[in-house]
This record gives sequence, C-alpha cells and structure tokens, in this order.
Amino acid sequence: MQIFPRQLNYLPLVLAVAAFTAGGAITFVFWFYFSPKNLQVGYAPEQPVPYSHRLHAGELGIDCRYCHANVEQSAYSMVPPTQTCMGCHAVVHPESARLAPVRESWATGDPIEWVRIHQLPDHSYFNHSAHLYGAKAVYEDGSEVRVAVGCTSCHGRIDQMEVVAIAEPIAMGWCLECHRNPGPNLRPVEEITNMAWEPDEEWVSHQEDHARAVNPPEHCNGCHR
Amino acid sequence: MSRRKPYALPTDRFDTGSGQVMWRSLEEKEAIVSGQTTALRKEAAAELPGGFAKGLPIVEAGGLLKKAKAPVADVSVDILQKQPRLSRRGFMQAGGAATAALALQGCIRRPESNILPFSKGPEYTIPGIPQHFATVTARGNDALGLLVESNEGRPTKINGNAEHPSSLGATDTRAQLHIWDLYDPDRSHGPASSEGDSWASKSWADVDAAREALVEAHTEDQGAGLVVLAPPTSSPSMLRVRRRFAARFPQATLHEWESVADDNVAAGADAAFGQKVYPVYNFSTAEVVLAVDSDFLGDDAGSLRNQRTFGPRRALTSPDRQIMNRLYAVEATYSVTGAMADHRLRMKAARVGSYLRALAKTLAGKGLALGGVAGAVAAADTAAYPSDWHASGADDRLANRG
Repeated sequence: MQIFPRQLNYLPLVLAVAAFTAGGAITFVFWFYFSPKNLQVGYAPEQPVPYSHRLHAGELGIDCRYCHANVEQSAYSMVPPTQTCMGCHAVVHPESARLAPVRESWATGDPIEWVRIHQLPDHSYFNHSAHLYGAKAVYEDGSEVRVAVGCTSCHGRIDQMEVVAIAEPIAMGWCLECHRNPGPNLRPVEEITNMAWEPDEEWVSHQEDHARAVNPPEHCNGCHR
Repeated sequence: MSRRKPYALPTDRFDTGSGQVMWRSLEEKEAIVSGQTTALRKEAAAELPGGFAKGLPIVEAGGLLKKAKAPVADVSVDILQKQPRLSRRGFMQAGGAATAALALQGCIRRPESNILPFSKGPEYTIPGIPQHFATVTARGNDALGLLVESNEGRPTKINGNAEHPSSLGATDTRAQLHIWDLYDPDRSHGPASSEGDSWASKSWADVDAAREALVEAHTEDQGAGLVVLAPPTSSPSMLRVRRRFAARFPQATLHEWESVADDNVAAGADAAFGQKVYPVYNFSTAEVVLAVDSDFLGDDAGSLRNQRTFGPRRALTSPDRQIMNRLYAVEATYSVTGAMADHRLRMKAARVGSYLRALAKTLAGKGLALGGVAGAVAAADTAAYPSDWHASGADDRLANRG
C-alpha cells in the first residue's frame, strides 16, 4: 500500500532550498541589523562640524571638562551647547566656513546634530560620575589618596584624534575586565583628564589599595538595574 | 505513522453507521457500550446553557486564526457566545513573538543616532542631575508649598516643601497628581475665546487687543456694567492686581467663585473676629477639638498643617508627650476627621446649625458669655440632641477654653 503521495519525493529538495533561503535570510538580518558599525573599535562617523579634538584638547590643551562640564558630577557626559563653542568662536575664526553650522545653530537656536559615537544598550546603566568622582584609598601608612578612572581608559587618546573614533570595545566583557581588576586603570583624581599620565612605580605598588577603595560591582544588578 | 491506537471502540461490535466510534470519557464509553448514547448526550446538552443550535459550522483552533470546519449535524454551537476570530493558542503565539521582539529590540544599537545639545544652554542645568523648584499651589484661600523635581527641563515628581509652613514637607493627594496636569493633553496651551459652542485659540496679541478695547470702552463710565469672575485667592500679587483694578474701575464688580469654597468658614471668622480673616489653626495647644462638619484632617484647605500640629498630641510613646487631645466630630458624611475622632456623631448637614445653637445655649447656661449671639441662641432646642454632645461634652469644652 502506498502511504505517502508521490509529491513527497520533492520534499528533500524543497527542504534544502527552504533551509538555504532561511539560513541566508537569518545571516543577512544578523549581519545587517544586529552588527552595527558603531559597536566596532575604529568607528569614526563624520560629524556635522569637523571638530578636531587633537587641536583643541591636544595642541591647545583645553581641559575635557571645559566642554564636557560636570562630567564628574553627573551620570551623563554632556555634549556642550553651541554657546560653549561660540564663547571662543565669536572671536576666533568668526568667518570660518567650517564653523558655519555652529553659527547657524547659534543664530536659529536649533541644535547641532552630532552623531553619537559611544552608545550603550538601553538595558545597561552607566554613570560617568561614579567612575570619575573619586574614591578615597587609604595606604598602610595612613596617607590618603583619591582615585578615579581616567578618560583615556575608555575613550583612548582623544587628544590625538582628528576625528573621534571608538577606542575600546564598549561591551560587557570589556567592562567586567576592569571591574574585576580595576587597579591598573585607576589614577589620582586630579589626573583624570590628563591624557599623557603614566603611573610611576610608587603608584603601581599601591594598586591593591586603590582597587579596594573603588570596589566596583561585579553582580548583574550593578549595571543591569 | 503513529503507532498509538486511537480511542476507538471496535467497529465490528459497535457499528453506528458513521465509521469508528470514538469516546472521550469513561462515562461516554459506558454509554456507547450499553447503547444509551442519547441519554448521555441529553445530559451533556443540559450542562451547556445558552443559545445552542445544531448544524452550524464549528470554528476550531488552527494556526493563528480560527478555521471554520464543515457543519456537523448533531453538535451544538453556542450562537449567543461571540466566537473569537483569534484562537487562544494563536493569541499566545502572537503575544509571545511580540514580547520576544520587544526584548530583542532593547539589545540593538542601530547606527546613527544623534546627540542634540542645547543651542543656548539653560542656566544651572546639568544633564543627568535633577533640579528642584519651589512653587505654591492654591487650596482655596490657603496655599500649599511644593517642591517640583525636574529632569532636563521635564517635571517628574512633586513633593512637599519642608520649609513652607502649610506643607512642612508633605503633600496631599491632589498635589501628588498635579504632575499629570502638566502633561494633560487637554491642558490649555494659550489663550482662547468662546465662539458659539466651542473655543477658538487666540494669540497673546489678541488678548492685549481685546483688553485694550475693553479698557477704552469703560474709561468714561468707570467700569459700569463690567463684571469680572475670578477664583478666590490669597496671593498678594493677585490681590494687589485686584485692588488696582478696583481703583481704576470703581463701578465694576468683581465676583469670586469656587465650586468648593470655604464661605462658611470665612463668614464664621468674620462673625468671630469682626474682620475678613482666614483662620489658621494651631492644634498643638488644643486639649479638646470639636469638628462640626469639618474635615480639617482630610480634604479641607490647610489639612497638612493641621495634621502636623494635631498629630504630636497623640504620640503617646513620645518622651515629651503632653496630655492626649480629644476630638469630637459632628458630620454628615464619612471623613478622615470622623475616623480619627474619639467621639463621632452623625448628623444631617441641615441640622448642624441648630446643633451649634443648642451647644451654645448649654455653654451659656454653664456661664460662658456669648455676647451678641445670645438672643439667637435662646430659642434653641437642646432636647433634640444627645445630651452628652452638649451637656457633658460642654463641661469638657468649658474646662479647656481657648
């Protein structure tokens, strides 16, 4: 007795084509949609204003917090209002064509549409001030020092970047590396914006004291609140 | 092919003419075996009330949507029951897929989002740190001090202002809900004028023009025929504006009206003190409190302040405790004050006036000087009210005059 109809002979072929198509579609979706460029080290989008951190932070030596003000007080690192740009550029290069979007924003009140470079997923909570405000470390001899994470630890040598690019893979494994062993990334709180700071032997010898002072969370709820 | 045998009775013994005989319960099997299926079906039908009809297409779950199957002659379908188009299983499938998609969306950081900073940053605003603004909301003639938390220019929470004497750090239910007023889509966005049955939006320039026209029209007659309707206020600024208005247009009339108002309180204060005052109670020194149709601990204006001064007299475990105060409540409806009272008397609101006269008469009989109202009280019927609510209670009150 013939249980299966004849058409079922094509079933393996149909299945193979379907599997190939579905596999291709899934690969494409993940490749195109779930793997955005802005999560990769080196992502350096073109900004509406060709602002050079190398010039302003590097050569001119403007402190990070002149523009990203109160970053050690607030959860967010503020992108400065146009006002901050115009504070200097009303006088410095007031006619520059490259600053036209800044002047336009100042005149119209519309924001400059900076392209976001560092973007955390919605389910993770990051607080700039927690990393920058400084924790009090006490040495064996009783002396105290306030330690914090420097800008360069996550953002790289911004002062050498003509166009800002992602310097570190801002992903959970990378975060946890430091949360498990914060010592090497801690520095005196006065030096957080110093791009060229290097620890001396004395500082390195106290890394354990520093790590104990900050005691970063490693449990899920620390960041996934 | 499945090797599981269907729950079928052998057809050679139980041939009903329609193929295999299936059963779903032991009772049904019994009934089929004993040939009493009709009785069982009747029993089952009796268990299913409703507008049943036979021979209708049955809808069954299949995929997301229900599929209609061919009519079965002897199966009832409840025609009164609305048949859902979406099967229960289909609903769960679609809902689960949607939830998974939402959860996945949270992980995705699509390229190219923008950061839009201010052009001209507002003063003292640090993104990420909330600001707090002190403000005041009106409670009839009273005012309630509030502290509004604002995140990047968006108010998110309203709490009491600890430094304001009528709030002392607390808010009432209405103040907690004011936050929704700020996001109410029906909230007016600007001036409007009534045109026929509806409202038409106007610009502030229109308001200025209309006001100037009004002022011009009433300059000669000093405001005769001009009527202003306004809510009651205790705001010094608003009162100053009203005084200036009255000075400019002496013939105009200004009416104050509020749907829930303290008119009786104001009239009572007027009678008691001979001038227009707004009573602010201090219960911290009161030994005996009589609340007559007054919810001074609940919904009345100034209730937060009242609670703060009334409450400590009842903190019996407090080391610096004083003699516990005593609260009598006479009221027509349930209220927080009535629930708090040591003695509660329910009374029609219409009888409150005559009760007060009876109380005054009793107090006068015990030696309280009544002054100008003695004549009005003399005819009061003290017998109409429970004696302990004006006789023994009066002793309590007389002993603690203040």
